[in-house]
Amino acid sequence: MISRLILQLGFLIDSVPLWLAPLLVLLGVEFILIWHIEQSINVVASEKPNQKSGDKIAIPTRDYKLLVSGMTFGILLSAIAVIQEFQISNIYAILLLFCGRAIEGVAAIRFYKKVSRFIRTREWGGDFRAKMKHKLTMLFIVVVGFYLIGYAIVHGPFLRSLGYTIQFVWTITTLLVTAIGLQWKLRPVREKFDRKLILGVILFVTGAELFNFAFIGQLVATIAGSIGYSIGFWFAAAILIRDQQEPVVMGLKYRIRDIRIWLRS
Amino acid sequence: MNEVHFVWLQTLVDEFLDMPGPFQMLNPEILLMLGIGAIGTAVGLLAISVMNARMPGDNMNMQPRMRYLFALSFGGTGIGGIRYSSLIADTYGYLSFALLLLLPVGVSILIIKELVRADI
Repeated sequence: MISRLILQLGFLIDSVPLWLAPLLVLLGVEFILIWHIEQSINVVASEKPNQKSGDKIAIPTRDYKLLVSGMTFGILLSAIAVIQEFQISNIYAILLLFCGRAIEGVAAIRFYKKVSRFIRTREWGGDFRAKMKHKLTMLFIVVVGFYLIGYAIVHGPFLRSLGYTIQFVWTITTLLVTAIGLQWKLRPVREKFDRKLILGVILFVTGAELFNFAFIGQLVATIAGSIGYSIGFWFAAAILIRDQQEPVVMGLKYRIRDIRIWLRS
Repeated sequence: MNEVHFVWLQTLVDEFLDMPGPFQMLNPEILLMLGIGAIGTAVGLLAISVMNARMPGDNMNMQPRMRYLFALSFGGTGIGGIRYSSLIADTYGYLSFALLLLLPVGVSILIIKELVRADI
């Protein structure tokens, strides 16, 4: 709740320093690019020092790393050139925000699954201690953020002016809250994906969240975020229905079967 | 006293905070040139690896220094390509940007799918 309130302040407060949000976005995209290029290269080649591995081309480790970094930096720099030429960094950030909110939209479906499971088994499941640790960490970050703002007001600013210090503390608090919150949401799929991919998603969503838009841009970002959330929700719902994993229906089936068995006996 | 001693630190912090963002650092032409140079070098390295793997005998196995020189010459050719035709350069740029647009969307779809199917 408090963390949500902190994120909403983005309407009023700009994040500082100004290069932080674009840098986070680009770092995130770079990590995803590295993952993608590695996957693509691994189809035809493998990273093995001077030996053949099946039908794949063996590339020495150092060459493999140079190849991946050359490709990824090349693509990233060329794309930045296009973004810079057409001045579309805001539009790109809105797209990333859209993707981030779509991922958040799945959280509601997971909550539905949790409730359904509770109806069936009378158990909430999940690691309660881990959840508590996560919530307490978030609370700690928010409390420290407020404390630092209070300290700056009483004892004077650490950076430039009081306004700048408040903006800076708000930026760092938002950054940590968003990154840790997203890391928690992606926890169930951490095993299935490469670490670079997860880190990339966390970084680009955090960067998009901190991106400074003008008033109109902020409005468009909010609308795009809401649409993204809805699309994420319904996309996840469609997958759930298609996979026929509807727990409530399944739970009811089990109940009816139990009653039948009881009646027969 | 502190103010006098830490002026340099304050200046350093101010300069750090005022650094230009990644979208303002260099002009687009230089960025595109560097980007195509890097991609060209990587493609050169890949070409040498394929050559080493496919050609029989040890004669084709170049020394690392030669390999990197060859790869760099590929990168240089890429940069030369820009000077020769801006259409090639623009195509490179647009394709890279398209990849940057599609990747986050694709990755998000992948993650959403797995998140729905993951155990609670």
